[in-house]
Amino acid sequence: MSVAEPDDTREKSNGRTANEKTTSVDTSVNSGFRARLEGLTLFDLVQMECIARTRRVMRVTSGGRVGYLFFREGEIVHATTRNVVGERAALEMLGWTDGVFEPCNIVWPERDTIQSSWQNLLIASATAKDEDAAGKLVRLPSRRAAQLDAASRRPAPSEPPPSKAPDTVRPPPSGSAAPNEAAMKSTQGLTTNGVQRAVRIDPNGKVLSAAGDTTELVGFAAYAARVADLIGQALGLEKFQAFELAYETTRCLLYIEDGGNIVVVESKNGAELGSIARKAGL
Amino acid sequence: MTVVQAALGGLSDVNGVVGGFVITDSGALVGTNLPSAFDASVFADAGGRIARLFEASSALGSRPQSCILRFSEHKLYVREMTGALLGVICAAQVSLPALKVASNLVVRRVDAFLAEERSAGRTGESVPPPASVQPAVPSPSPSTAPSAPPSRQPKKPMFFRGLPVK
Repeated sequence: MSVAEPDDTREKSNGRTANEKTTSVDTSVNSGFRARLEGLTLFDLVQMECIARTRRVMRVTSGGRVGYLFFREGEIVHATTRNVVGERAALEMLGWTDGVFEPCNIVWPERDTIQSSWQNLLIASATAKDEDAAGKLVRLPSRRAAQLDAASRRPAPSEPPPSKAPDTVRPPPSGSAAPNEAAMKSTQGLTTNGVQRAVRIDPNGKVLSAAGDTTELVGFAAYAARVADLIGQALGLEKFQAFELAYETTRCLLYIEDGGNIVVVESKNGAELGSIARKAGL
Repeated sequence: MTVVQAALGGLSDVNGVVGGFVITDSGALVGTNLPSAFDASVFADAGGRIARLFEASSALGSRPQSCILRFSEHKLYVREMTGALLGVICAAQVSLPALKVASNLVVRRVDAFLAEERSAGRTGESVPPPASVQPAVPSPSPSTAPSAPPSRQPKKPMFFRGLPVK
């Protein structure tokens, strides 16, 4: 998979086709560097786009197939191929092994059709590829796949012809878009029954509130939250939110509040930490 | 497929599990059944950090038995083994009771395998020694590391300004 110049430049300059494995990059349609990259996978290109947090549409062509990935603020928010839209379309394209990845101008959808993070999409695609490579003859339909099937069927008239310019493509509205849940806004919970000690610190490690002997808890909270975030980055997972440590007689729960403050609560194993655990998403 | 990989395969019985891995106490990868996108370079960073997180957590008391890290759409479940750690990457909505039972089975099998490997003296497959066997003091300097164990080296007389030092 590779990245291509804009349509007009590519076609006039060298007439490469979608099946060629070498193409070039235009990181911005109007300005910036233009590069030629070879041997990249679509995984690499998606990560580059997401990390750059650009807002643009990339056309992916591979062996006569075409699809479009819509990037905005570091996420893939919409995808469409000949037959499907949304997450299923993105997964279909991520399964293509070679082709061209190029920016294009296309009408944006009225609503986002993808809620999963790009990391989640890459993991799902990698898993599917490995399963295919393992030689499974039959993949039983999962509930998630069935839901995606139902949500991603697109009406036939709006299918973009692969060889035609994509300017007329209008992605269908999706009813699956849902607002993100507001989570962990409350700062209460440090006085829950059974809590042995608890502390809330700001992102710089300054203690905002504390209960019990929190001398070693403060340093641990700051360090552990940072290391946990790095673990997530190394594994290609999303933003770290919380963790729970289980000891023989106690447990320790840490979560990040919306403003970035870190809350750590240590309690006996039998203590009721329902509300705190819910805030932490554990 | 290695014994460790085969044992990790049992984790996929639980809905939402992406895959698992086993690392040593120091973070070196022993085995994994995660998708190939999670290659050795991934664990070069993540393995050491998971091990350090567990080590740092010991400061609050005893060594933790398990840990669940919550990310936006995934969870990382880490469980202590004998001289090693089991990690499982799964969807955020995974059934934790089911995952814990599946992990117990994996730990039982992998622990038994690693114990056999240790007793047989095989260390080629990154088999970790149990924590109690690991040296408590790190090797003093790189210059002495490749040589024989320090206890077998002949003791050299030490001098300070021409006088012997005991």
